[in-house]
Amino acid sequence: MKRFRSKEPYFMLAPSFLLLFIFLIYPLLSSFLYAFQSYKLTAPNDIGFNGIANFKAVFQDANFGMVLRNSFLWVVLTVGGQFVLGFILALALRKPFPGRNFYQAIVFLPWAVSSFVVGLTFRWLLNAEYGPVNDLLMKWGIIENKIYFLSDPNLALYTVILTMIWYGVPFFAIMLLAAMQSIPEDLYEAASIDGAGIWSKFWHITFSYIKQTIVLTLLLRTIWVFAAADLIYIMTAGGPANSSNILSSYMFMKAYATLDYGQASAIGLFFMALLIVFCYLFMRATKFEKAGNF
Amino acid sequence: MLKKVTAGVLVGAMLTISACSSSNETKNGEDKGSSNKKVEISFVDVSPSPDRTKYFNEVIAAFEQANPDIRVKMETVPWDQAFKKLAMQGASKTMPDVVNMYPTWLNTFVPAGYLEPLSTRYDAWSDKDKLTNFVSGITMEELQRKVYKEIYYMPDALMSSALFVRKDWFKDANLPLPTTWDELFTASEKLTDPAKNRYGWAYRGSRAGFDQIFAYITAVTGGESYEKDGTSVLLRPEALEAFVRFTDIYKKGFAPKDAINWGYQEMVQGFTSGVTGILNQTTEVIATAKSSMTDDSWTVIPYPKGADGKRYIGASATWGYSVSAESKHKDESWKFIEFLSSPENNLKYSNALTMIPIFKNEDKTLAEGPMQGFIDTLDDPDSYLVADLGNFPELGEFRESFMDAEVQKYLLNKQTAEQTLKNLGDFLTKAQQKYMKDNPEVPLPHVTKPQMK
Repeated sequence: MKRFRSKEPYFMLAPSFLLLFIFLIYPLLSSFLYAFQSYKLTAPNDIGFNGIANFKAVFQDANFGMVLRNSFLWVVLTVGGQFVLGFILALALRKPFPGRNFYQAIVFLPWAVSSFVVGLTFRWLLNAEYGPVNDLLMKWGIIENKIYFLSDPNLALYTVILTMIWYGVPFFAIMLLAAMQSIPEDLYEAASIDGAGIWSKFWHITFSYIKQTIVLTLLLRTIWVFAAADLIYIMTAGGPANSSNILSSYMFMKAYATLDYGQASAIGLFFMALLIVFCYLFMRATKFEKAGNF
Repeated sequence: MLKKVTAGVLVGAMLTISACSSSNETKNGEDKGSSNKKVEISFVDVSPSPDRTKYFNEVIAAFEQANPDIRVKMETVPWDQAFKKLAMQGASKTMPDVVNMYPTWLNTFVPAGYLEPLSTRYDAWSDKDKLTNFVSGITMEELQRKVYKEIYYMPDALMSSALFVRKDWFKDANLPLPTTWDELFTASEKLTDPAKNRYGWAYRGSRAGFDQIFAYITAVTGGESYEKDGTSVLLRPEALEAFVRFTDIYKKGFAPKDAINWGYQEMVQGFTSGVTGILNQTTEVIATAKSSMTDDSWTVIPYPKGADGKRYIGASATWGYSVSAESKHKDESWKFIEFLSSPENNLKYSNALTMIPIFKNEDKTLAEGPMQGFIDTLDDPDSYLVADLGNFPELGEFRESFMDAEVQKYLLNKQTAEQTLKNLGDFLTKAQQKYMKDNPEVPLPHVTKPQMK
């Protein structure tokens, strides 16, 4: 009985480890194996190991450079935009005003909507032939010619980024607002007595108090945005001519349009390596283990 | 304590096991059913729509009444995901018993061994002689037995390309309805008036858009898609000329700029909502057009003739019914396919979905209105059936992810027309020549004369 006692935690953990193994470790290992195989569902008779041919094919792919550049723009602009706007929104909502709860519910709404609905709605709004955005802009005389938001290769990616920013602002606002509301009011009172202005109150109290939250949400959000392919898939499917593909959506297309699991897994491994490097650098830079006291 | 822990572990294990084995359980259930003389077969429809689902529900009810010991369970999968889903089901040996098969999928599924040969059953089928020559000669023999040595699907109906045009726009512009490609290009220019948000052509820039370009290219190559040695016709100089001429519809603005992202749904919408005047589509769109446009505003005209006075047209089985190689109830599955393919049910199906029936139309009571026009067009002595792109397994990759991205690069001025056709032609040539080496007995795709009688 005593021996059993000492092993009890392992028994208790066993089911969750089993589940983790089935749904996380096993797929991870098999995608690792796929990356070194010719694994196309369209050629089921030619499945077999082919060394690093998949990685070669991926890196020599003419689109790969553009896709990487797009991924960088996508992450920086989306997370940056969401953060700045989310911060402003949180600051605006911090002090009580009449109807705040109602207003808060409205502005947090996008977060509750499925990305599929968001994507379809924006695709329709921005449609050049029957979308209301172009129509209104023309009627108000702001533009002369239609803007082809989703079919112009120079605009398509930025259009999806704008949608993504709109979609993710509430996340930052919710997280930052929650952190701000935990700041004791007397700190501000004390600062006022000491003669601090708005700016130094913001910098020395608000900002430094919520720094940890900022670091954590930025990290989470970057990983999340980097891996999010759904809006791109719905709004442009990576087109026209791959101009709005990022790494994750490109991987998705490889796996589910070409059914080339080998190359998709190779992209996936590269993708994972990039994220691990990023997380490491980010945590070093923000001194994450010291809870963000940079 | 011990009891509690064991119970916890057991519950956890059972949860995982039951989550992983639900598919096995249904199979066990089926086996139990067969010992009770009640068999359940599954059937998947790959292009569900309210009309189709209604038809299939009716026909399944009738089938179950006629065969009380067989039950049919219908599943559906949206068309855009159908190939992927079936490819995965095939790889994991969970394909439904009866599958709605798209003819070009055989390239992938037959070599992989996912489908059951139906030749002996088809040869013994009592309604075989009533098929049109098109079906018995081309669909069954040329496109199946000669290529795969066996027959793998029973066609559900035939589909043919046609032009949907805005009759009222042509009248306003004082233009005759086009009969040749030249007239068609002129018309698409004259009908365009961006100020009124009117464009000549419902251009398909994405998701199988290259098929539309290729339809015109075959009109200048005499319907052929390969030279005798397997070199793609895209490498011929006249193919380049045709490619530039067709894509000029988009580049010169006779189609909406947005059309570079248009697939099937958008181009049909573009036509029915009054943005574009000409739509190159297959017959099943008639039903959609009928329900959303007034009768005097549109009509369907035969495919245009090329410079040589001949009409090169694409026509094939829309879908077909196949039996999965993994099926445990092959006899029952064939019985169901036989029932779906009876002359009465086939006619009902074809009329409900505006497609061409697979049986001879001896007393001319079969097809209604525009459908007879399609049959007559195919029967016309000047009509020829274009060669297809071949049977090599890389065709899926070419169609799903390669061809449209290449053309889009040209449409966006990121690549020359010469380079685009070279990339496309080299891909096809390489794949076709490799296929010819591995399968010397399979004839090259070539132009044929359809016979509907």
